[in-house]
Order: sequence, then structure tokens, then C-alpha cells
Amino acid sequence: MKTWQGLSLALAALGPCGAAHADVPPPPPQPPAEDAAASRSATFQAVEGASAEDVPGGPLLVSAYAVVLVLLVGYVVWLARLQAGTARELARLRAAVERAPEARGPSAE
Amino acid sequence: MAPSTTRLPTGIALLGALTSVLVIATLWAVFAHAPVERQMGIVQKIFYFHVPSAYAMYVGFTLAMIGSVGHLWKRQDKWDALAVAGAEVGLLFCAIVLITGPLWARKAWGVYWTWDPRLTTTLLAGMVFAAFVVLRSVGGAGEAEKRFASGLGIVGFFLLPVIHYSVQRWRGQHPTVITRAGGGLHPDMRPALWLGFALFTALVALLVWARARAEQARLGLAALETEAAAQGLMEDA
Repeated sequence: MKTWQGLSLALAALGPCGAAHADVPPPPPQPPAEDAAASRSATFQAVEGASAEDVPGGPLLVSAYAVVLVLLVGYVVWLARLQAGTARELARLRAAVERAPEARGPSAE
Repeated sequence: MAPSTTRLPTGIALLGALTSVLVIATLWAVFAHAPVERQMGIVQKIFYFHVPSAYAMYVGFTLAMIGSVGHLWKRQDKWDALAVAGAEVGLLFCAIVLITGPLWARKAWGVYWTWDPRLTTTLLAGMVFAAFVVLRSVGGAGEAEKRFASGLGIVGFFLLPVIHYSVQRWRGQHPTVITRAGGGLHPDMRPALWLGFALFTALVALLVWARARAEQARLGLAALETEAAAQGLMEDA
């Protein structure tokens, strides 16, 4: 019996407290902890102050055009060297063919 | 008969001159005529070289397939030289596509790379033709290597329609600005793009021509060396 009386007293004491809590507006909902990609897909927020771009386009553009230039010029230079090497080999072969009859002597012809 | 390695053919010289003029005209159109894109800003100007590079890659890989089929059918060096030239030049433009694309994507998508269907299939095609080029570079010019490389050239070609239609079939995030409906390109941006296409057409023709010519000369020289060695002419050379 004493237990029921104790519980009643405790509830009576908490009652005003609960009423006081009911008057306070609920706290704003906290955004759930999530990764950047999920956040981007769920909310759109205005930038505060002057808008500034996160990723500067200039260096990316310069890098792209530099890559195109370097790859194309590099390939042309490599191709020119390949041609020069083939021409050298051809000259060496031609010299060997021209020397061959002399080395073998008149009887070889 | 292998072509002369010392004298530059008139056609290549003329094509080189045309390419030089087109480089200047395209750069003028891209940076002086085409407006800056509203959302992406200046980085959108990568598009004028990126898309024509992809087209040049298609041309190179298609020529590699034609050369491969020709070589398997006729077993002639000229077809093999075309296959090597097409694969190599196509791979060069594929590298340009795969490097300039991520630089644009960093700004537009926030990441350099994503496993989008078009990006993935382009990378796959590049890897197939890289295998072709590596095989022909380090594997020598034996008949077995040539035939295996020809097979790779044909298999790799069938990835091209997959690349092209991947955006429509698998709904990737790669942009499709140029469509049959006319696309979403501002009228002032079109001259830069069309000049880019003209430039890269001239470039791919010039490079494939020059490379095929060099390869044919190299193959002819290798055959002559083999013949000379068999006759004992190469001992003191």
C-alpha cells in the first residue's frame, strides 16, 4: 500500500514539471549524420555572402588543353624518330648490299 | 614495295598545312567566338576538343578493324600497317578522351571519375587496343602476333557501338548534347564544335597515314634484313 502512495506522490510531483515542458517549443530537428553525397541529394541551400565556386575551372581547362598538346606533339616527335631510325637502318642495309660484291670478289658475281 | 622513308609525300605535307590552319581557326572559335557556358563556366570549353577526340578515336579504331580484317584475309603488310596505325592513333585519342573528360567531370560532377556506362566502356575499349599496341610493340612482328593482334582489333571494334549507345541504354550521367533532334548547343558554340570536328578529322587522317607509312617501311625493312642475313650480307654491317 505504501508503494502505491509513493508512486502517487511521485507522479503528483512530476505533473507540474511535465506541464512546464509542454509549454516549451520542441527543439529544431537535428539533421541526421550522413555523408556529403546523401546531403547533396536531400537538401538545396542558398549560399551566404558572395557566391564563390569551389572548383576553379581555369586550371582544369589549361590542364586539359596542355594534355592534348603534349600527347599530340609527343606522338609526332616519336613518329619522326621512328621514321629517322628506319631511314638509318635502310642506309645501313644499302651500304651492306653495296659492299657485298666487293667483299666476295669477282668470282662471286 | 616499302615507301621511301626520306621524302615526305605531297599529300601528307598538304594535310599537315591544312591541319595547322584548322588548329588556329579552332582555337580562335573556342576562345574568341564561343560564349562561356552559364552553369559550368569556362571549363565547358574542354568539350570542343573532348568530343572530336572521341570521334577521332572511333575513326582510328574502325581503321584498325578494317586493317585487321584485311590482314587476316589477304595477309599483306599494307593491311597490317593500317591496323597498327589505326590502333595506335585511336589509342592516342582515347587517352585524350579519358584524360580531358575527368578534368571536365571534376567541375561538373564533383569527381574525376565515376563508373558511368560510357566512361567504363570507353576505358574497356582503350584497354583492348592498348593490348593490341603492346602486343605489336613487344611481341615482335611474327605472323602469330600479327594474327592475334588482328583478332583484338576486331573484338575491340565491337565495343564502339556499346560506347555510343551506352548512355541511351543504361541511363548514365554522361551528357548527350549532340542528338539528332538538334541538341542543346547554343548557336554561337556550334562553329567551335564543327571546326573541332574538322581539325580532328584532318589530324586522325594525317597521323594514320604517316604511321601506316612508317610501319609499312619498317615491315619492308625487316623483310629485307631477313633476306640479306640469309644471303650472308649482314655479317659486317
